[in-house]
Amino acid sequence: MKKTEALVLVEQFCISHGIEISFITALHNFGLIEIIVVEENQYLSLKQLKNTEKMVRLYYKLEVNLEGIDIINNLLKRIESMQAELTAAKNKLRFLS
Amino acid sequence: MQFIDYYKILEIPKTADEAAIKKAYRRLARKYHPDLSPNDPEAEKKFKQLNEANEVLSNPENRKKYDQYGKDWKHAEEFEKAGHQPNQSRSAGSQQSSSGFSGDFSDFFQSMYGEQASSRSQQSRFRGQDLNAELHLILKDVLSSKKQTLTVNGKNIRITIPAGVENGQVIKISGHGSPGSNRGPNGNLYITFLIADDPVFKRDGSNIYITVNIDLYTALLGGEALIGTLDGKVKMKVPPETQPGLKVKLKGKGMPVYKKEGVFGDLYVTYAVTLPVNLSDKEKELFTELSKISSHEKN
Repeated sequence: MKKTEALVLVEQFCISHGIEISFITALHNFGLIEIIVVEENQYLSLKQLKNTEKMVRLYYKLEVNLEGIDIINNLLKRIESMQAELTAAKNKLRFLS
Repeated sequence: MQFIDYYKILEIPKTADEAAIKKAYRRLARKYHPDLSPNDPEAEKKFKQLNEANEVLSNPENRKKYDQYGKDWKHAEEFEKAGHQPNQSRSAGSQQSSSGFSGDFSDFFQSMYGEQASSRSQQSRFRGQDLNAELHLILKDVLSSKKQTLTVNGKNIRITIPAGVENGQVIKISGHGSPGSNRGPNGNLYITFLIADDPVFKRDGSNIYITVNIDLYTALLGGEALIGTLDGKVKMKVPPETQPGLKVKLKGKGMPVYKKEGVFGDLYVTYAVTLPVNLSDKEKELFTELSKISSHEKN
């Protein structure tokens, strides 16, 4: 059985953040987010919301362009993975000492 | 409450024009924005300072007041009434505050421009501050998932401690950070699990290691050893001629594997042999005899 997914209407998201729908479309075209289309309406999944809001802030507040956002996303993922590795390495060190 | 040098915060001279202020703010905001420095309280503090400095210096009216009264901001009203020129009484040197930024704006800012100014100035929504908390546990606390109530910032939060969570692992509780401003969403709560070393069980991921002492006779002739595992004691057969340092694996007797219900790591038992002390004359005699037999058989 398919799990029900919570969705947010793109239009509503844009109104609430005071941004153009074209920006969300651009993020989608850039492969940074996924837009879900249900009965001709565009939606964002709830799990993407936080990251999409972050990209809105980067673009509108910090004037980072889409290429920059893409790079930041990748680097943040690497930081996250390295932080997890560091924790594991610290635990290993603790085990060996 | 200390005077805050907003020019110093934005790393610009006092003669900087609007474009230079904007440029400096953007440059530093890109460096310290919480989105770009996750889980870094220092960066978050610095970002708040930048916002405040930008709020004052990018607004001509605020900047004029700040430049006019500077460190005498406390007496601004009196100076205005008395027609004083506070610059004349300004002493040299200023100090940048390293504290007083617990909220979105410092006490200094709110005293100078009023609380309304700080709320008015934030036209856009801001997500609330992320909070970080530490939860100190012992190994046995993470053998099974359990619920616990934590008090963070005066609020009780009921969380589930997941079985098998590792030392230093962080879990995020969405929306349980500080409230957002201007109807912005709440921040998140990040809980770091700190698991103290166990005096008996050494952990490596989901595997557990222990050392068990057996006496010389059990090691030589075989027998049984009572071994404490994470879920109680088990009796193990010790084979004859067990060597010190021999490692035995007890499958599935280790830690629960994180997020894999019903899956457990292994328990590794290392045997250490305790040699007898305070030998009686009879024992010495017998050991001497054994020694002779042993060297005779080797030759």
